[in-house]
Amino acid sequence: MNKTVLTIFRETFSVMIISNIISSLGGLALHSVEKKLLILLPILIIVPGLNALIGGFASIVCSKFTTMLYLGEFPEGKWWQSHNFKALFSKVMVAALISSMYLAILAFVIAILRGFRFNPPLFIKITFMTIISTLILVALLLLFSIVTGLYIYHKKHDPNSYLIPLVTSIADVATMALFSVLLQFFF
Amino acid sequence: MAFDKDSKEIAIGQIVTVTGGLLAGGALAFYTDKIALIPGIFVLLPGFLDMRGDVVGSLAARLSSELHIGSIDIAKQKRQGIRDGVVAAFLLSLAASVILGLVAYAASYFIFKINNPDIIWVAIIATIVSNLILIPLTVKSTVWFFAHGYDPDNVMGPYITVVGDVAAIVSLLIAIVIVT
Repeated sequence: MNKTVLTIFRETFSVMIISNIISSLGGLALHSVEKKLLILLPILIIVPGLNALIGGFASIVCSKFTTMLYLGEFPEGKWWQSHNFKALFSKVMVAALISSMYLAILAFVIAILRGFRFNPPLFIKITFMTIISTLILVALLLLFSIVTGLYIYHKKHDPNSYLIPLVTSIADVATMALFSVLLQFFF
Repeated sequence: MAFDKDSKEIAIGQIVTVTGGLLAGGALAFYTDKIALIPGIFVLLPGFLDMRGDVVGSLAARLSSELHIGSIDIAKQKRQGIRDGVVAAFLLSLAASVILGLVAYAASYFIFKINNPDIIWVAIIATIVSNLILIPLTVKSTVWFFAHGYDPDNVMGPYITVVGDVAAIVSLLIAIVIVT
């Protein structure tokens, strides 16, 4: 094996394994609702999409926040009162609302194509559950990114180096945990 | 106004990503009977999806950097960087799959009292199958985008997330069929 391959392997392996194992914790939550997942087809279809959606939002909020921080558009004290924070929050929440509605509706269409019978109350429940999970998680991830990002920035480190792997792994676990709790609660 | 250009760009990008995830979920839904054959498969699922994204995402980013700086040049037969990246991606994913399989087995055994060592083989076989699909596809696409004037840094992220999720689920299903 040549030196470059060894270097790539050494640099990537430990970070990747930690990130993968953190993501696997979400699988424990998922396993606890396995029976419901196999019966409620639209929910089974939603799971990988929701995982991708929240992971995508985690990357977006981290990169948007760090860019604003370096451009001097983000105040370090009382940031929650600033116009820029409120604008960022509302933009991200609107996008989260639209994409989660799309996720729930398309998951139902795919389930119906698979032979699942359309049931309006179930459709409303699942759509509501998907939207609520997305909005709660995106809001929490945004706040977590800001608080952690500012802390890292104060410690004279670059938030870009730490924030995305950290927040995307937390997003994976939190998504599966919250979705499983809501699934237990609603069904 | 909340729904401005930024919101639109974010929503459109996310809709593309979600569509890939839904295709992957659709594949899962078509084979619920197969999934039920491997108890503990849901413990493996998020870590496996994350690992696939990490391996091909970093391979695409590495190839893109080398294409930009000129250490990979297809026209001049400078391809050592591609070979190194491919070997590293294959080895990384294989080593990670063994660990993920062991973690899924241990978690299923100690937490849910399910003794199913097949889950380790599912992780390894699914990784080999998905490598055969995703690694050549990542290399070809990165080089193709670069050669056609696109910046792979801008397009490979969402593209490989969408393709990677679908390929990962298909590979898991193939592995389940082989193991059972």
